[in-house]
Amino acid sequence: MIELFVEPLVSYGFVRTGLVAALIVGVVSAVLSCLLVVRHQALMGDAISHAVLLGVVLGYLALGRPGILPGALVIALLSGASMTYLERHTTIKLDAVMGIVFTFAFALGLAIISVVEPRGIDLFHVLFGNLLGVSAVDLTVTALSGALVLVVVIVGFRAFELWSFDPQMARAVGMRVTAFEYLFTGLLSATIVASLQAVGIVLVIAMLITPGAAALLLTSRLRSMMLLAVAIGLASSLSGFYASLHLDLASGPAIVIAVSLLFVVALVLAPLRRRRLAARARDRADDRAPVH
Amino acid sequence: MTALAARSTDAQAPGARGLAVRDLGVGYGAGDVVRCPRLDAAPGQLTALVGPNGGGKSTLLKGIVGLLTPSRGSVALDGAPIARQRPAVAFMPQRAQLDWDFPAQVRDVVAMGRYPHRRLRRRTAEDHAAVAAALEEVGLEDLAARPIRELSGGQQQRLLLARALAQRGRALLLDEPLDGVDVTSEEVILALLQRAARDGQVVLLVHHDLATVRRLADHVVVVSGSVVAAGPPARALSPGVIEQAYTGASRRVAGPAAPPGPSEQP
Repeated sequence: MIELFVEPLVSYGFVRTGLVAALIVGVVSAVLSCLLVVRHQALMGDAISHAVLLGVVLGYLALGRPGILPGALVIALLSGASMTYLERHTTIKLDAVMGIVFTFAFALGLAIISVVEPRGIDLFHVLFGNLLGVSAVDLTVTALSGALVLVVVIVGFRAFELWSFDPQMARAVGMRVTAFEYLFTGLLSATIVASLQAVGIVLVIAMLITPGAAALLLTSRLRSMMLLAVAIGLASSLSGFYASLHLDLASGPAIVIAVSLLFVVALVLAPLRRRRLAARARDRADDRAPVH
Repeated sequence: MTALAARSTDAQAPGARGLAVRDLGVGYGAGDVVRCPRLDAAPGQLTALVGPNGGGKSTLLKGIVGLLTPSRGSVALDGAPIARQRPAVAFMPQRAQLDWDFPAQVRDVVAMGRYPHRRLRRRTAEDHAAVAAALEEVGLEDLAARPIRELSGGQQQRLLLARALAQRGRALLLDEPLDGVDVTSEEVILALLQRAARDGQVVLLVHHDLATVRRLADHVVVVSGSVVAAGPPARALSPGVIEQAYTGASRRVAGPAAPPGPSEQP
């Protein structure tokens, strides 16, 4: 056991760095996945993450390797903001807007890569993640953006809850809903950039949907949904990380397979939980019923 | 005396109480769907907005609440622009516009009514008391921990009303609060709205059932593209007004069709 799980951490710094990055991603993307799922915006994460390829390429061309994450963040914010803007100011709905913006940015990124062929970008790693290639700078960016997202969601929990359930009431009582939407897009961008190294562009979408969706099956409050999603995110990051280490898998697919298996577990448990709750409600009704 | 009274109804004097809408135009970007030259809802009265489907009553309510930005005109509450007192305005949306699979328990949703007072700060005893009182008023206190996805339609409406009551604002604006509810829930909701009015709140509701409105509203505003009539139910809901409002709207929706004749019979 120790040989399998502890020794690699003690012996190799890059393994430690990779594990920490995976855990941060597991927590942060799980929290955001809850908001995306309850707001029916699951594919927004997909869209922004694809657009990020353009940022990776441009950031690398401008500043070399250290430029990748800042470049990704800038393009994530720009694409997210332009999607929000186009949805608000045209008659085109969000799903179509997302399709237009992300395919364009993704195509532009691919085109530039095929022309310039930058030697420092391994397309496979950008797309599918490479936890063992996380540098100290990458880890700092991941940790900072992750912390930012967590603090904002925890401090603003009540606002996120109201805005997600009933944006009409939120607006009616004076919340600046438009500004809030841009803020949310910013958080999503930061999360995607934080996840880039661990699971890659293509698979980050799973981490931004599945933990929240699985947790929704088993909980009935937003707060407990978020806590359970975090547990699911952590479990899948941890197991995916070790699977990738020992079975020589790409880290992204390994983590995504783990989270998908946990979703299946939730799917199996959900009806059992429903039955238990129903039984408890019946008991309570019996208690209250008059005894003759 | 009568001259003074007449003048005071003309434009709301500063410090006047209640909701005063003047010359409002509301739509979805391409022109106004509804115009409202004038609408008054006094505290202490149950005011109902009625009119045909497509007549713009919900749109007007959304313009008043600020969900739609009016193209012109003003809305004042107690003599000051409503835009500066949003937390004092409780709004109850249509039930169908919410996602009832949202992970929340009954008490979580009622507690949202306290958001305007507390924002992100820790809730106080006053908040908890307001939530508990509202739950009790609508008769959902036994279901406080029930997931909202397990509620019936009538319970959902009562829950939304409890949230609006927990806000303890000066105005209560409701979009179809009686839509799809059972008789028991309807009685509970109406009694609470009347009590809120008696306690001095402005209560303005959109409703489509004229019989209920006749029975319970103190003041009725008939909306069909514009305000067609306003006054006590007996006057505002005269047969002439109803015919004008409802047939006018159906003609507008159907287009300039020929009057029904033998040729239309199958």
